Amino acid sequence: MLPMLILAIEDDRDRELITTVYLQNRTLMLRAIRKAGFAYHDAEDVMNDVLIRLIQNLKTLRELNSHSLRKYIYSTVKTTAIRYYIKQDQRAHNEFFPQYDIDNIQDTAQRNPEEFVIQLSEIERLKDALKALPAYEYEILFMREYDGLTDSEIAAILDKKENSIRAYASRAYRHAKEILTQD
Amino acid sequence: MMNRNNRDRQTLQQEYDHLMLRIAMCEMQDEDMNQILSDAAVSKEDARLEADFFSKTEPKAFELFHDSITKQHRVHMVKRVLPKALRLASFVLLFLYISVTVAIAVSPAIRVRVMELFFREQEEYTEVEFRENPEKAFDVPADWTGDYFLAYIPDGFEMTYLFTDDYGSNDITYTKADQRISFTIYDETFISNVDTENADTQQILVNGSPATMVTKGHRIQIIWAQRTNYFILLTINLDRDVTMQIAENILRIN
Repeated sequence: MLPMLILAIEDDRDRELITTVYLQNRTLMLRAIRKAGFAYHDAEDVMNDVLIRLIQNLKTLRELNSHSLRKYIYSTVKTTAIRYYIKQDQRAHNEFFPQYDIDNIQDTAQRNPEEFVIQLSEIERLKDALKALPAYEYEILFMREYDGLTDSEIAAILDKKENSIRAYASRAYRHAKEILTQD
Repeated sequence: MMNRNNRDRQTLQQEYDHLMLRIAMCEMQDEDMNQILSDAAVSKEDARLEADFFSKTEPKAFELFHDSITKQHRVHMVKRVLPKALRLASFVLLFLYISVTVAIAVSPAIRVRVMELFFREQEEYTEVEFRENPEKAFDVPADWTGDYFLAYIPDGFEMTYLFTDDYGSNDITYTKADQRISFTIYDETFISNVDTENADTQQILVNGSPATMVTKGHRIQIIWAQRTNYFILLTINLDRDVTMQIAENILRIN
């Protein structure tokens, strides 16, 4: 019976945590979902997916301070919204990704994203360059650099092959570099 | 000794660039969040729609928290906590079993059990095999999908209820006048509530497995586990010994 009691206690603590997180951050979550292009009637499904992902990562939620927690939630919303968006239908998928057939490109082995060294000096210039990137390139760079996801994790989210993600990332680094160089 | 920081300029530059990227993204993230959280970001109409959205979805969200967390903990319990507890329990029981076996090895009970094996002496060896004991055969309802069943039901009881589901949970009830026997098998993810308020709770062994016996008035419940199932045997108006006899005759059938 003891494990059952522990189970009940853990249930209550975790429910309290996720309830607090939800109540304190639901406005941020809803507005982030809306910003990603979802109407209110679709927002509920995305919000549910976000909450499930947060519940699956309660340990992380517990360890973060309030500012980092907010950023983690925002990041989760963005990733979930993108996943939801591109899985909705092929049209949405095509809107997010460019039309060329990057799934079948053969030269990904030569395109090591790490080789694209960007000479950076000012954060503001870099931010402008990132803002100028196509959405899919920025999001892939964001997941890679900021969220620390691997190419295979990003591929799973975006429903693409891993080498495609690597190719997209290569293009994104190169585009960022070109934009910075033009300035 | 090799200098661990001996990286070339290009590598360091790459690391620096990636750090700068992360800093830029971190700041962009902050700016985004501050922008969408500012009151200026929403019109009065949006504020109303947001309020409507939360009043409509909040109960569902709380329900989701309850269901998802319970499910997550069940899985954790079954995959992590129970195996550890069972390993520890089996170690303790192994020790007890060895001690008890040594102590009662000469008792008639052990001999009775041995007699269930069939020995055929040959010239150079003795053949040993299990033989069915027809007297111990028992019936199992055709609809029963559980891996265990009651091999002993006292005379005069009749089956009055049977329930099975697709997840391996099975429930059967036998009654005789005001007496009742209910046996339930739960699958690994099911959480059940046992009424222990003002009840007498004892830790016992059922065929060597740790079990909890809860006695409350005329009701006796025994709860224990086998593999990935756990069982609840409930008797009403039956004495403790009969209840134990029923529990100890719950056998694996699949």
